[in-house]
Formats: sequence, C-alpha cells, structure tokens
Amino acid sequence: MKLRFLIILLYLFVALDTSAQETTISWLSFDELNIHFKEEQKPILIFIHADWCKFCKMQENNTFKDSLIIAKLNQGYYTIKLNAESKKTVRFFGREYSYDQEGGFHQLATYLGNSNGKLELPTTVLLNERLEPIYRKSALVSQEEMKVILK
Amino acid sequence: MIKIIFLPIALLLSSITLLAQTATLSGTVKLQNNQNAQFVNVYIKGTSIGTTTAENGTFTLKNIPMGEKTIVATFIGFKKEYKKILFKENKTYTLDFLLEEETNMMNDVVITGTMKEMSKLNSPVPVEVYSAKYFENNKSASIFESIQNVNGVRPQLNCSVCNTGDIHINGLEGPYTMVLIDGMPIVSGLSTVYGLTGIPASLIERVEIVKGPASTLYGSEAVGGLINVITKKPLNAPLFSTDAYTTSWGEVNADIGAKYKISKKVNALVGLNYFNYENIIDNNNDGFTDITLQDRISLFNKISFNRKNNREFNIGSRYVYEDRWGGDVSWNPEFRGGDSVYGESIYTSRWELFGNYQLPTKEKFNLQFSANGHNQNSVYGNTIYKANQRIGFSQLTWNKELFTSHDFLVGAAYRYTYYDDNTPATLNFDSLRNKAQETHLPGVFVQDQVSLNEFNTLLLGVRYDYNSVHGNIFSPRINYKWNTEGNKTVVRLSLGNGFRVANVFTEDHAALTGSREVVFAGELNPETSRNINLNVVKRIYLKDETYLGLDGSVFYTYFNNRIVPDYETNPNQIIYDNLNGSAESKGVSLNVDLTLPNGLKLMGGATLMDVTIDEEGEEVRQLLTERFTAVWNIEYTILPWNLKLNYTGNIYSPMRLPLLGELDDRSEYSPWFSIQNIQITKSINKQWEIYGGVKNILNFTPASNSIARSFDPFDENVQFNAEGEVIATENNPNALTFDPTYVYAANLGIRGFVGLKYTLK
Repeated sequence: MKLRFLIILLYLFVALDTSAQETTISWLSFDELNIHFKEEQKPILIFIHADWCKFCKMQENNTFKDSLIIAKLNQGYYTIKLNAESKKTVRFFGREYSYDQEGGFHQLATYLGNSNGKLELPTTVLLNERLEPIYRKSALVSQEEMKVILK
Repeated sequence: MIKIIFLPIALLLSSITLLAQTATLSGTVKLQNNQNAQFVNVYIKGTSIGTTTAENGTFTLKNIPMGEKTIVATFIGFKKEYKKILFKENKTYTLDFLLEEETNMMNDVVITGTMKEMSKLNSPVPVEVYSAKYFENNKSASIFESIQNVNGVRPQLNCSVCNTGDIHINGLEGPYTMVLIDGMPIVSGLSTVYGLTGIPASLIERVEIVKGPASTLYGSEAVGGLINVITKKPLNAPLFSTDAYTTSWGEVNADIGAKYKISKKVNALVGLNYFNYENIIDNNNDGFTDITLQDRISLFNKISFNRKNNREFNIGSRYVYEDRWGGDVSWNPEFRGGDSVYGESIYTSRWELFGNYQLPTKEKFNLQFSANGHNQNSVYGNTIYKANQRIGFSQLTWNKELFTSHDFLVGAAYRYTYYDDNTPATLNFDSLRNKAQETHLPGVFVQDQVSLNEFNTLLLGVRYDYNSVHGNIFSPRINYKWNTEGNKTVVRLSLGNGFRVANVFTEDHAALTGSREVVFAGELNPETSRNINLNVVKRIYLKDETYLGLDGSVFYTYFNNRIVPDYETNPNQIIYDNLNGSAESKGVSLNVDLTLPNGLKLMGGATLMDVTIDEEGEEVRQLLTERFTAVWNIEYTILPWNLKLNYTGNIYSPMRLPLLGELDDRSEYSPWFSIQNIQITKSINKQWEIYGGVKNILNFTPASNSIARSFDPFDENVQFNAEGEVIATENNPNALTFDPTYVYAANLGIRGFVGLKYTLK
C-alpha cells in the first residue's frame, strides 16, 4: 500500500518535473552545444550574466520566463548561459576560453561582450547559424525587445 | 502566363552562361592554436557565394565569376582574414587561411547600458558591493566623504579644528573597521585616522563592505567590519579621463587618469588627484576656521603583466602628500607650534607599494605583498606630535578545489609594524630613551567553503596569529548561506570573534589635540569580542521590469574588554583603562532597492542600533553614537535629454556628546540632523559629461559654541583648583577649558558645485 503511494508520488514528481521543463529555457552546456551544433546548425543565443547582477536576474525572471519567448528559443535556437566570472575553462568553436585574472572576467565573456573596452552586464549576444554576430546588447533586454529580435 | 513560361527558360540560360565563365576555389583553413577548424565561414565578398568548412577545415567554392575578388574567412573567436585572387575562366584555384585568435569581438551592433551599482556577492559572507558609479551620484573628493551614502557606515569627524576622522560601522569606531586596498591591510594604524582622505574617489573600481566579522582571510581586528577598496584595473580603465569640480566655497578637486602600454605584455595605469581648499570661512563667528584648509596631492600607478595561462601579476604604488591646517582665522605657518595664535597643522607624507603575484605552478598559489611608510609632522597648538610608521605585509595562499564540493584556501601571512613617535608611547621606561615599537604578527589560516548542495553553502575558517607583544590569537569563523532557486531569497548567518590591541595614539585623535592630558590607568589589555550576524536578502522581480530588493540584518557584538576613552571623570584628562565590565553593540538594519521601468531608482537604508557600555553594573550609552540612521539615493533618468537627477541624503538621531563637566552649557545631545544633496548630471556625448548641484541644501551646521572657549585656546584664563579641576570664574562661568573634541558633523554649510568630466575610451 505504502509502496504504491510512493510510486504514485514519484510519478507525480516526474510529471511535474517534465511539465516544468516546458516552461523554462533549455540552456545547454558548452559541451552539449558543440555536439548539437555539429548535428544541426541553428542560431545561438548567449546570455552573459553574473551572480551579483540584479538586471541579469531581471532578464532571467521576466524576459526568459515569457512562454512565447521560451517556445521560440527552445525551438529555433541553441541557448547558452555564461557566468562572466566563471572560473571554468570552456571550449567554444575552435578555441578554449578560461578565466582572465587580470580583467576579472571569463575570456569568452570579454570576447563576446566587451564594448568600448568594458564589459557591462547583462549582455545578450545572438549568433546566426553561420556563427556571425547579428545582435548584441549590453543592457537588459525586455520581453518586447526580445520578441522583436526573435521574429 | 507568359511570365511563367519564360522565367525557367531565362534561369536556364543564365546558369549555362555562368557555368561557362566560372572558376572553382578550394582550400583549407587552419587555426593558429591548431584546433579543429570546422564551421569557419568562407565567402566571396560582395556575392552570395559562400560555405562553411568541413570537419577537417577544407572548403570548396564553385561558380565564382571572373575578375578580381576578395575572399573572406571568418570564425568566431578569430580575426577576419582577407585574400585577393584574380579569377580566370574555368580554372581551379587553391587558397589556405591561417586564423589568429582575437581578444575582442569587433561588432557594430552595440547598444550599451549600465546597470550595476550596489549588489551582494554570492559568497556565504555578506559582502555588499558598491560600484564607483554609486559614489558618483554624490561627487566627493575622497572615499572618506563618499562612504556617507552607505547605510550603517558613518564617517565621523573627531576634531572640529583639523577635521580628521574615522569610519564607524554599525556604531563601532574606526579602529574596529579594517580598511583594505585590493584586499591588503594597507590602511591601518596611523592612517586609519589620517589616511582615508587620501584615497581619491577616481581610483576606485568598486568598494566591498562587510558589516560584522569578515572572513578569516583578514585577521581578527575587524570586529566592526571591513571596507575593501578595489582599485581600477589597467585593462578596464579608460584611455584617458579627467574629472574636475569646484564648489562655491572654493573647494577644487581634480582627477586625471590615463593608461598606457609599456610593452606588448605590460599595461599600466596612472592617476593623479589634487584637492585644494584655501578659503578661510568663519560663518559661526567663533574665531576659528569652519573647515580645515587642505592642499593634497595623490599619485597612483598600477602595472599589470600579461602572463601565460592568465596568471596574475600586478604592482601598484601610491604617494600622498597633504598639508592641512585649521584654527584661529589669523593663524599662518609662522605661528606653527607656538603658543600665541592657536592652529593645528598636519603635514602627511605617505607611500605605498602593493602587488599580487600568482606563482607559475600548476596549483593555484598566490603571493600578495605590500609595504608602506607614513610620516606625520603635526602640531596641535603648542603640542607637537611627530610619528613615523612602516608596515610590511606578505601573504601566500593556496586555493584548491577538492571532491567538487570543497573549496579550500590555505594561507600564511606575516605583518611587521614599525612605529615611532615623540610621545611617551614609544619610551623605554628603563632607559628613559626613545625606543621605536616593533610588532611582528605571523599567522596561518585555513578556510573551507563547502557547497552542501545547490541551496546550502557552509564556510568554515580558523586563523591563528602570534602577536610578538600579546601572544596567541585564535579566531574561528562560521558562515552559512541558504538560498532558494535563482537566489531570490538568501539567508546568511555569520559567527566570529575579534581580538584587537588598542593603540591609543595612532587611533584616537582626541589623545593628540593637546587640550587634554592623556592618562593610562594601568596596562591596557587586548580587547576580545564575539559577534553574530544574521542577514536576509529577498529579491522580487515583477512582471513590468520592476525590481525590489530587500536586505535586512540583525547584528550583535559582545565585548569582554574594551578600551574606552573616559572624557568624563576629569575634564582635563582622557583616561584610558581596561573595561571592568562588558560592552554591547546590537541592532537591526534594512536596505531597500527599488527600480522602476520609467527610470526611477530608489535606494535607501536605515539602521536602528544600541551601543552600550556596562561598567560595574551601570549601563551607559556610548558617546558619539546615534541610535537611528538612514541614507537614501533617489535617482531619475530622463533618457531623451541624457539627464540624471540624484537626490542623496542621510539623517542621524541624537548622539551623546562628551561634555566638560556639570556646568558645561553645550547640549549633551546632538540634534537630529540631516545632510541632503542634489546633483544633476548631463551627458553631452560619449566623452563629455557636465554635472552640478547643491550640497547640504538644508544648510545644517553644528552649534556655533561647539568649540569650547575658542577665544582662549591655550587656557590662559582658566583657573584650576588643587585637584586640577576647573573653577568657575567670572570670565569662565561654566568651568570649561578649550575643547575641540565636541564634534558630530562637519561645519560645512550649503554650497553649490559644478564639474566637468571627460572620458576617452
């Protein structure tokens, strides 16, 4: 009896979990991106953020929580979240990027996000399927703006 | 109908003609780092002919029309390569590319906006981070003034004549606050009182503030808290910048900064700050300068080396020279040290050298080192105080991540302090000769940050120091952090203890003013304390891009022994003694951060606290400590006009003040007071910015009788009885002596200001 109850409970959790997945953006790891991109070339959205950055959190909690944006990104794009202060070395298309002690930021964040010699957070970068940068904004991207970009 | 028939025919014809006159190009793209060159874009400029490379880096372009064409190879992370070829009919060409790594993606699609002003780091220790931008909302010449906009932090002037001060955190005085530059204890001892005005606001990248016990990394002195000034990095600094402003009182502050390359791998940053105030103003008619006259220059240099594998190596240096004086308005340097016209004059010369070197090992070892010298030549009326201090510091840390969830930091530190002055503090009692004080302070520490899971982090630390004067010092620390998903709610709990050796002369400016005699009632023991701090952060993101951040804290510190200057037993003396009892500091604070999508930002905070001293069963409120304080910054940006309005301010509840006796006619408590400022900043273009406003719009100044008997600074007309107590006489009915230590706010009235900033990126 108890076991059955547990199984039902477990099933419920799994069900809830999968339904939860549909309402969030499926962020890929860099390794996953490298694998998936080889199979199918799709545009890539890179969101550069930091733990302390409240506007990054705003973008995550508003823009990236909108169901239409989630659906569009999950279908037509690969999405990558990059912590600008990450200490991890990552491989991203023919190059390894690691944390830069001097600048205090991850090399990939600096590479993609630096404008006017400065990295401002959040930064959202969009690459087309040929890996050409087609959009970059170093400020919060609102729901409305994101919908226009993804059109 | 006709169209439909003709179109395919036309297409067919054109493709036939193209086929007849085209060339083919194939080749290989290689990457300088020998990595795989798949997905490199290769195309002919001005045409739609293009492809991406295969897994082995090869490509083939067909149907290339005749003529000279530019072939482009681009790949994310690499520099664009261009090559020209003159294509001729039906020929096949080969072309190879070698792509070099690029450090910064050059891209025209840039819209900038800037957003980080105050935030909290992700660490279990509650660290508040204020960016340089935050302090720009109320322009100030030095960090000492800037910090008045931070909740729970109050710059306190200790002397109404010479305007030196210290920084109080949550009601605890300057010596309990540790001021670090780039994480190193550079501002300590003498300079905790005298050195803070010498750190120009323009050098600051950000300021990190910990209220309560900080991590074991910083030793046990900082019971009240820690202020870590992070200086700009050459890489992030603008190519050239200047910023200068002047006020209607005649204060002038100018900053110049530039970065330059010494060689391909060595970048440097140089900064110069100059502050001048040479205007004798006596609005309260007490015959004394309202504000100390200052002439200060500060030179800063930082060099950073680009090393293999991103290893860090940088060296910074700073030199400050300051000449300040305050006192009788008719004073001039001829009267320095004499007893005819009263003046307090301080010449300070200070140098600092600090650096950080990451060892070229596979393991992560970091070596920090710093040295500084502080020379002070000062007179307080006819009392002369000359002091010389040198501090050397070095620290080696080893950082290691183990079992994925443990982040270990092991370190050893050594601090050497040399201190010498012309007072009895450095007198050898056996020989009655001057003997400089030397202190060695070696220490070791271990810290382990355990990520229990995604939501719980534990930071454990122990530190052991050996003080060559006071022996063993052991300080454990526990910090715990719990957070919900996305850090929307974060709870932090910190526990720690403190240990501090009081150095009266270097820390307490009142001991030097010469108006009172300094008495030591027995040998002073080190102070020990225990502290607990609970912090809760809640972040609320509303649908319409409204952000609300709430950050509340409860703090409690208990002191077993505290060295508290006693001004009250004898009005002519300051008595330093061990506390026969205990002292407590407790309170609550709340910070609010509200950002609305219409450009309105509101940041504010309030602290309610109670600092008491319990001596032999009697509880008294600590002097010069407010019970309530609040700060705010209201910002509104009018985007179409590139205009930013800032209304900043603070408010303090009454503080108990040191009186000279029962007959003293000055108020025992300061009034509620508030300093409020308005600033308007207009960006003209990317380079030029103009700003101006009004400081202290309420024109608050302390009571005009704050300096007791300013007309008789050498106590010539004061009569004393046999016990040394002041007798009330006809021309001294309140039995006072000259006293500049009754001070709670700067005597700076309402001022207009205007400034110009130029930045070349």
